[in-house]
Amino acid sequence: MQNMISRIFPQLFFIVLGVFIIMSTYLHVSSGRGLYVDPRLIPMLSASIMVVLSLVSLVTAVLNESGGKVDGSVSDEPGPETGSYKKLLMVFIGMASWVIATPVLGFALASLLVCAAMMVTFGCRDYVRVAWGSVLVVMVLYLVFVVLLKIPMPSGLLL
Amino acid sequence: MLENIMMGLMEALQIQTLLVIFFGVATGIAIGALPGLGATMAIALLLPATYAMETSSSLLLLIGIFCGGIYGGSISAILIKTPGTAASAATIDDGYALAQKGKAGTALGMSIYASTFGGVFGGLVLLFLSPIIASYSLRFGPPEYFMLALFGLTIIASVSGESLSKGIVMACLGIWVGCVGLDPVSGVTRFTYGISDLISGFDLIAIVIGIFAISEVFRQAFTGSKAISGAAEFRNEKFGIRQVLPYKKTLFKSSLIGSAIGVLPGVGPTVSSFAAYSEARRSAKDKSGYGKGSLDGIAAAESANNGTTGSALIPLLTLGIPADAATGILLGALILQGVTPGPQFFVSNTDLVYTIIVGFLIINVVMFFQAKLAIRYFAKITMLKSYVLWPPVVLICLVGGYGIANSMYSVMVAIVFGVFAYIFINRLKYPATPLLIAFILGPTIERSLQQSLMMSRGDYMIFLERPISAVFLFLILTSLFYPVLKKWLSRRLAGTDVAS
Repeated sequence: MQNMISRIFPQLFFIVLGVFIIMSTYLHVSSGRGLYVDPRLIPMLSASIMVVLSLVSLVTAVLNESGGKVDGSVSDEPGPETGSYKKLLMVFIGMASWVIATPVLGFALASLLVCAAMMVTFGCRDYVRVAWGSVLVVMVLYLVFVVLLKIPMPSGLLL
Repeated sequence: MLENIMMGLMEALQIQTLLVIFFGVATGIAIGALPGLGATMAIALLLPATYAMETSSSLLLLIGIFCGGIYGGSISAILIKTPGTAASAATIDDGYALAQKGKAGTALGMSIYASTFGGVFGGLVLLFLSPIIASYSLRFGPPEYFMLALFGLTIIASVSGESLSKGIVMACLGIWVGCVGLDPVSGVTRFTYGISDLISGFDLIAIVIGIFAISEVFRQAFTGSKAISGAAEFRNEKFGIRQVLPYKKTLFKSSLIGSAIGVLPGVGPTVSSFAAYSEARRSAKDKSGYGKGSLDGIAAAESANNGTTGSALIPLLTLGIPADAATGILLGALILQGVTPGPQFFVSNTDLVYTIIVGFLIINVVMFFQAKLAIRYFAKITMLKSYVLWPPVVLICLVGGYGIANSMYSVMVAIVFGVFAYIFINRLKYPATPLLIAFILGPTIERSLQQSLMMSRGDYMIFLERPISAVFLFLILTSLFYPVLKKWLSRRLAGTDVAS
């Protein structure tokens, strides 16, 4: 069952997205007057192709799945990649935290904290190394982006 | 032309430009040597560093990364049997076999010479062929642009990987993503839902950072590998031009194959290296050594993939059509600098064009000396710990995203595309390149279609009446129906064989 869901999830996603685009185009996009190409044409066309192809793919996946059950054959495709969802979530939270924290704490402090968290997430257990590694990375980034490239990073509590 | 070349040479030989080239090539080799990263991600990662740079320097930095990245892939292919980039996959068998025999230095030496030869050859093709194509493309009007952009979209078929259907779905998504914001002709806002940041649409750089860099960080976090790869054995061996001379015929032929394939949109260095390798094997008197440590095999594969790098810039600079994901990002870098490549680019930016072309040749020379002098240090990069590599990559993505418009909006766009790319591209194996190419070409298609129909007062025959446009239409139909025709013919031939 789980295998079936993972097989049809992408097709379902693109069907829903395509239908959303078509409806959204009808409801929110106005037709340009006096134009030969309606501004709604290209998005409608691309969304329609997306829906049709995903539908065909969905039907094929369902038929293959049920056919597989009938003859009892086992799929020779490699199994799903195994790994740690916890680490994946940690990286995502780290990135989201940087977006939220930078305007408040400033570029340097927020980056320092996120870099340290990332080093621990990627397996560094030597906390002295985490400390100096993070400081070094943030210093180099500050020099390159703020001093050299003159990108005005948000300054909060520190730098 | 000679005057333009001298002008480009003077510009490219400035200390600041040379330093940028030096840094770009070194970064490209280092990232290219890391299995799984590759030249495209290296360009995406360093793109934010070009915001405040001069146009020529920023382009040469990225091209340096591109060339260095393609070469760098051979280092890990030879030492640890894992290609840093797909373009070096053809080098694995012979390179690793030589490394197993204790001749890793010889294999790496041949790889350096072949890559430089191929790169310089591709650069010369770029230098002499692109002005001819550019002068011809000056006759292009909106109908020709429309057909050209449409032809560019047909490369999706060749970059879709195992499933054409997935490739087309991603291309449709790319076109829709490109529609978000103001319509280029009517000024109508589309899919903004009252969010003011969406009026200017999605930024190409944010999408590139998300798709190629952030998704890879997610993948690495999920798989949780502690180091990029295992230790590699390497001894310094003497390898010079004398050892290369017996392979000059292979080098020339493979560079020619690489350059010819590079001009074709969507084919790229991976195909060219395998094509050159099989041609070298086919034409060899003794085929038994191939796959077991043949220097001829390494020479063929490496000169072909680097030969592709130069000629891949031809459609980009002359027509504004990217040949693959890497040149798509280079196109984004040009647009970021306020330059639109295409037919007018050669006329209005002659000095810049020749700086790029001459700089490309210098890049390959710099690559040779860097690789020759520092190969043992580049080889050590394959042993880098994950916690040393990925945290800075995360921060570069975030800071780079912020630098696009000095707002967190671009960072959020990059993260959203990163999550999408991780799920759909890394896990569900949807191809990334069609999305990127369609996102770039979508607005051009829409704008030029509108302009063409305005010219003809709504008559679609304009696309058939103009010869260049009609030729492109023929090419589109050929590239669309050629695979079907080929399949039908081979089935028919097989049927005839069975019957006879």
